[in-house]
Formats: sequence, C-alpha cells, structure tokens
Amino acid sequence: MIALRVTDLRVAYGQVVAVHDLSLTIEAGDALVLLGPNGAGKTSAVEAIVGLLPKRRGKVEFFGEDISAMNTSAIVRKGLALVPQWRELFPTFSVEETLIAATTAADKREPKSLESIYDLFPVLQARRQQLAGSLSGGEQQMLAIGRALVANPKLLLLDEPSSGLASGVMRTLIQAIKRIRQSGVAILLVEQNMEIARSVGDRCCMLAAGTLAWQGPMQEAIKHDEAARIYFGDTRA
Amino acid sequence: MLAELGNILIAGIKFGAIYALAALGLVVIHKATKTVNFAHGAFAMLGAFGSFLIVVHWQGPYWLAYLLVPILIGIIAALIEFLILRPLRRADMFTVVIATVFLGIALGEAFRLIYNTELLAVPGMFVGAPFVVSRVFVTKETLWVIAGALVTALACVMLFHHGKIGRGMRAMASNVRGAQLCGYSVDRVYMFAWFLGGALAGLTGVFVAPITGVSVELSIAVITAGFVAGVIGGFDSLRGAILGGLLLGVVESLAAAYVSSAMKNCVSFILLFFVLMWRPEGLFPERVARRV
Amino acid sequence: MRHPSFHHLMTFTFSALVGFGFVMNSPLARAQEPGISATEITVGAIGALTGPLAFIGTPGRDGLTLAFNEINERGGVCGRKIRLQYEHASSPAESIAAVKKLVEQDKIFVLILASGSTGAAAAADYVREVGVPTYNLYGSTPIIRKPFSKNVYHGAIVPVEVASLGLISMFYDGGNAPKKFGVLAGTYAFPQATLKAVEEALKVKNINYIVEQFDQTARDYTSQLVSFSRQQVDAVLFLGSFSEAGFAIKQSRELGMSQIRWVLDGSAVSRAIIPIIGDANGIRGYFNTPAFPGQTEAVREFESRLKTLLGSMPQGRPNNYDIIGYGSAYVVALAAKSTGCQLTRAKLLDAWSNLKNAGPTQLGGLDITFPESFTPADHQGNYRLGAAIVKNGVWEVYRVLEKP
Repeated sequence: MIALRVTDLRVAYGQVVAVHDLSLTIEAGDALVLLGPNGAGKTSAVEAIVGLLPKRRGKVEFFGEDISAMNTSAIVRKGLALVPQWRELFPTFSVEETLIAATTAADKREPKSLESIYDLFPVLQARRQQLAGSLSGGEQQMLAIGRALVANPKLLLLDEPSSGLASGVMRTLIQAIKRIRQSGVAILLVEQNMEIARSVGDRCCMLAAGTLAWQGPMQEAIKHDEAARIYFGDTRA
Repeated sequence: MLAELGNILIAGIKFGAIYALAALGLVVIHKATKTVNFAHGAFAMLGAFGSFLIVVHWQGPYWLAYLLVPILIGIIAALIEFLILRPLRRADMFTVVIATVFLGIALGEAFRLIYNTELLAVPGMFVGAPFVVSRVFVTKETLWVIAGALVTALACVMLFHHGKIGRGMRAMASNVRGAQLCGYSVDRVYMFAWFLGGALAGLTGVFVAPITGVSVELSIAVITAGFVAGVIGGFDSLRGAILGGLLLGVVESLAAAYVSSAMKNCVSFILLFFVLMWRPEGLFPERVARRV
Repeated sequence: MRHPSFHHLMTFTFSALVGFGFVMNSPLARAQEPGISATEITVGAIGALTGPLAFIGTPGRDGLTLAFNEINERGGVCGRKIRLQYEHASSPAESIAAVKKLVEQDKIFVLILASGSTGAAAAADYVREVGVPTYNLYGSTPIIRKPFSKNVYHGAIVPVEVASLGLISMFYDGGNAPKKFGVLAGTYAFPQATLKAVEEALKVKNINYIVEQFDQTARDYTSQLVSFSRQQVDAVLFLGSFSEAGFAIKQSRELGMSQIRWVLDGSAVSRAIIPIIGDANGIRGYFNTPAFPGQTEAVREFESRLKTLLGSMPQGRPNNYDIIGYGSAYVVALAAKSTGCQLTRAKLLDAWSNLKNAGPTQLGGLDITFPESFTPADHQGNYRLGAAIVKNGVWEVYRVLEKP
C-alpha cells in the first residue's frame, strides 16, 4: 500500500523555483531517504507536503486521499507528522505539556502514551517538568521527535534531525528512528549525513537544484559514483 | 487621613479591576494572533450597551446580562475575525491594526446614529448602604466589581494556562508552525482567541456600564486604559495585564486625589512612558526562556 | 438685421406690462413675505440631532413637531398650516450654515433656535443683522441675549442671574442652613456662565464657598470630592450635565460623603440621573417647567402623545427640552395669530412684543409650561422656575421659584 505519493510537486518563492516537478512514493512501513546538498530544495519539498509552504502545482496523496489543498493542521491530523528542521518547539512549554499538546494531532486515532515516548527517550522523562527552551540541542531534537510521534502518525517526515548534534546524541537518534520504523511507521528522512541515511533508509532519492537527480536502493546510492558527485558537489571531483 | 487614603485606594482598585479585565482581552488576542485589537474599546461599549438593553430596556435580570453579553460580543468578535481579518491575515501588521482602528470608529459611530442620547444610564447591580470599616466605605457594587472582575480575570488566566483551548492559544502564540504541526488549526485558534477577547471586552462593558454609563466615549476610555495597563504588564503576559490594570487604577486614583483630577489621564501616559523607557518588556513579563 | 417695427415694440411692451401685472397681483405676489403662502407658514429651526448635544436638539424637534401637528389638526393659524423645517446643526459652523440656509434659501417666516448655547451664540450676529424673527428656546448664553435686539425673543430658559438665585435658595428649603458651600462646575462654556452668576450671587449674600471644577464628560471626581471633604463642605451646587452630576454624586457616596446636600443646575435635572445614582432621594435642582414628567395629568398626557408620535420613548425622555419645545411652538402660533393675520415679519415682531400669558392652553394645548409674556423692552418670556426634588426615586416640582 502506498503511504505517500507526490506527483509533479513544484514549490517556488516568487520567481525562484525551489522544487521542480518532484515525484516520489513511499510504501506503508517503508523508509525513504531524501539526500541532497544545501539549497537542493529538500526542506521546501517536505514543508510543501505538509502544507507549511504553498504548492505551485502538483498533487500529494496520503493513503490514496488527495491532501494537496488541505492546511497543515488537517494534514497532520490525518497521520502525517513532520519533525521540522528548526524543531519549532514552544519554549515556555514543559516537556510534558509539549507532548500533551501534540496529542491533538491524533484526532480520532488513539494517541501514544507519554510513557512510550519516555521509553524511547528516557532523558525526556527526567526532564519532563523542564521548559522546552531550557533543554540541550539533543534533548530538544528528541522532544521534537516525541512530539511528532505521540499523535501516533502513519508516516513520519524527519527534516535533518542530525543537524548540529554531537555524535553520541546522533547514535541515540539513529536507534530511536530504527525503533520507530520497526513499529510500522513509514519514514521520509531528509539528510545530509550519510551515516544516518545509511542506517535508516532502504531507498534513496537524490535531489539537486530542486530536481530529482537519481533514485534507487540505498546500497547502490552509496556506491553510486555520479550520485556521490552530485551529493558532495563538484569541488570534491 | 488614613480613612481617606483607604477610600481612595478602594476607588483605585475598583477602576483597576476593570482596567485589568480590559487589558486581559487585548492581551489574549495579541498573544494568540499577534494583532492589537484597537476595536476592543468599541466591543466593551457594545457590551455596556447590551447590558443597558437587557437590564433597562427589557427590564431583564442582571445575571442575564452577565451571562449573555460576553457570549454575544464574543460571537461578534469571532465573526469580525472571520469576515474582516482572515482575508487580511497575509497582509502586514500595519494593515490589520488600521483595520481594527477603523472598525472601532465605525462601531462607535453606528452606535451614535442608532442611540442618540448623551448617555445611557445603567443602574448598579446592587444598591443599598455601604459597608463601613473604621470610616472606610465599601459599597456592595464596588465589592462586586472588584471581586467579579478579578475572579473572571483569574479564571481566564487558569483557562489560558491549564485548559485545553488555552494550550492551543499558547502554542500558537509561541510558534505558529509548531502549533500547526501539533494539529492546531490557525483558523480555529484565531477565531477562538477573538471570541475570548470579545467576551472579555463584553464583560468589561457589563461591569463598567453602571460606573460610567454607555456612551461612545466609553470605547475610548476602555481602549486607552486597557492598552496602557497591557503595556505596563508586558503585553504578552496575562498576569501582567491584571497587575498592570490594578497598578494603573491605583496610581490614577492617588494622582487624582493628591495632585488633581486633570492629572488622571496624564498620569497613565507618564506611567506608560516610563515603562517603555526603562522596562520596555513591561513590569510583569512572562518567564523568558531561551529561544528554541 | 431688420429693425423692430412699432407694432412689435408695442406688443412687447404690452405683454411685459401684463405679465408683470399678473405676477404682482397673483397669490404668489401677495405672499411675497418669506415663509408665508396661501396655505402654509414655514417655520425654520436648528438643533443637534446627532452627537453630544442631541439630548437638546432631538427633544426640541419632537416637542415642536407634536405641538405644530396639534395646531394644524385644529385648522392651523390664520387659515394656514404651520410647516416645521428642522435642520440638524451641532457645531458653531454647522449652526450658522443651517441658519443661513433656512433664511436665504428656504425663506422661512420665523427662526427657532433649538440648539442650546452653542448654536445660539453662533447664529447671534447673523440673526440680528438680517432681522429675522428669532425665538431662542434653550440658549442661556449672554451672546444671544445681549445687547437687546428687537427681533430676538427668549422663552422658558431664564437668565443665569435669575437661575443662580433660585439654586441658592433651594439649599435653605426644608429648614436647612448649609454650613459650608461648595460649587462643582464644568470647565466648559455653559457651566462657566452659570458659575460666574452664582459666584456673584454668593458674594452679594456674603456666603463663604469653595469652587472645584471638572472637564466635560468627566467620570472621576476624586480630587474635587476629597477637597470638599477636607473643608467639611455640606452643600454642593452642581453645574454641568446629568451624567456628570450622576457620577459625581455616586462617587461621593462611595467616598463616604453621604451627608452632602446636592442642588443641581437645570441642565442636570433629568430622569436619567436616577439610575446612575441608585438612591437619589433628597437631591434637588430646578426644572424649567411647572411639573416634572409624570407629575401631573397634563404632563402624563403629553408623554403619551409624544410616545404615539415617536413610536417608543428613548431613555431620559421626555425631558425639559421636549416640554419647552411643545410650549414654544404654541407661543409662535399665538404670536402669528395676534398679528390679526397680517402675516408680515414687522407685524409679527409688534404682536410678539405684546403677547401676554402666551401658552398652549390658549389654543387648546396641554398646560405644561410657564406662560410667557413679553414687552417691547423685555423679550424674556419667562422668569419662573420649578424647584424640584427626588422623592421615592422620582423627580417632582415642589414649589415655583418666582422672579426675584
């Protein structure tokens, strides 16, 4: 069953086209990695999918339902969650209140228990009365993932969860993302970090200058010469 | 002399409680939607007018005014959000603020056209002898206004800080994108914030009607006091709005008694000026957390 | 070009003469007096129908309309119906523009100033200059009263010097004798005019007093009241509007100053003050007519007729301006009638200057105003006031203050 089907998605800021007719599909329970250098249009693509950015054209279907014209809150309530690149937490909310607030997105589904989130990220339990604004970068990233997860989504979009994090924290995140996937949630991971990409994704799409440059299985992507050149840019060649 | 001071302080707290309620409605809307609603005073005037209609014109019971008016003004405010401000949501802040300014003027003038009197008088909820404690006088109405306005204000703070709907407004205030990702709809939260702000304005009107009567000038008085009290309190803090309102009421009353009544308005602007000069974040800002 | 023939010239001259003569002898020509036609007498009036002064102008219009309707139903005056042309005017500029329009464009016979002091003051110079018969209903301002002008008449509102004496005398009613007088006066024109007269009267009587002032539409009187309290004032004369008086009295009670005896200027004596204060019993003030609305059968009948005219009764109405408007309309009609139906402005001024005890009763109207009498040297129609007090939550006139 296809969880997400994006067809000819175009995102533009005025005259500047950020995403150029992107098409991709994710099977239910599958994990897809969207690779690409800075400015390739990865973030624009995921934000347009969840409705945070307006779409110039194209169609987005979620489990067969056309969600192209829906606003973000309606999309999120359908079970399509986003962990945004800048986390977008509420600084004055405690960890616990953040998670409670996010259960709103469960809509008619049964939300996940806070315990299941604390089980995934034990440090959040210790910090549950602390304000989100006072957490470390890694803890904030965990909270952002927990916030998306607590609504019991069917597809989780993660936009560069590794950015600015120490390697120790990164390993915790990789483990957590793997566990999320094992629980049956489909994942679309936007990454620049090959280590995370390799350990999470089965399939890979490479984006360059807003266009889909290559797609295929993860193992091939790593070896793929041209893909690597696109990914690391011409300076490396 | 001490009794005189007591009487003056009580008068100040009475006005302050109403200012607090007025400021609270402004701050609720501003906090959730980042819009300063300059039509707030006109909403309060409509509330006072509603109170006049129910209590004087239709001879209804006073509790009905306290119950119905906030709901009705809340609905009017939510409708205005839906019809006028929603299409302007992508416009810049200035456009939206100007829209509320002219909305306020339009409501005032409409009222003037329909009700052509100098002032509509509304009786107090309570009449009768005041309580006297060592030559300090407290009328039942004063007690009711102080207690009623402050209890409502605190209930509103509780709703905002602990209720489910309040959580949505605070999330929206804190981070619009984050709130949407949590499943909160901008449209619904904005509409509810306007409903709540309108309801508070309406309630302010019901409380203030017996104290000042119903006139177009009321809308100016409410918006001015509410705005100054809000800024004193930090404009983003509900508790600050309440404390700011009380402080403004007491300072005005003291200035009127010991300097001159003409100083009353002057003092509120002097207070505003000094707060903006020395503590632009307000005297009672919310806990400030590190930016995420 | 052909020269006009003699025949043509004669024809033209003849036609012109006939035409002119026809015009001169037509009913139109006989009614060349402004505002007079074979069937109508046009009376112009100005007053505020919207804005802060509408509580004067609107009842003025309604009282006049009611009375003229009654007069017309009984056949009018001199076989003519009276038509009221009422122009809204609030500011001085609007007032003068409205008066000019009525006089120059609409060609009215008589001008009624139903606008209070603001409009009356603005129109004063112009009406003196053009000489239009003018009836000042509500303006207490000296600008319209002095110097004397043969075409300007004043009705129910007495000069401030007369009103001040009446106000002061009311403090002594019921065997009272105030220990310390306070005067609480608005800083705007109308209360200031009264204040000047009151101060003169108090000085003449050698009464010790203090004055406190407030701005228009003030809602807070803390400093003034505290000052009265410190100087142990036990009698306060209030000069301002009913809303200002209402909130000042209410606040004095809240500050524990319930022993003060209040006497209000006529402008503050209104039904609407009672809901503001709550328990208003014992508050005194003067009223410009012999009975407060509701007090006598005649004023109750007036109220019911006015309600029929308006459909519903706005809050605070009928007020003294309704009643005065009604009575004044009858005075105008009587003045017109007493010309012997020689309806020219000159005859009207003569007749008006000799009216005695003019009022609604002479033409079958309701007896609700003080009858007005004029002399060629004194155009003030009325000098009497009704001393009123709140009893059981309603105003009533308890005695008539005669001309001092």
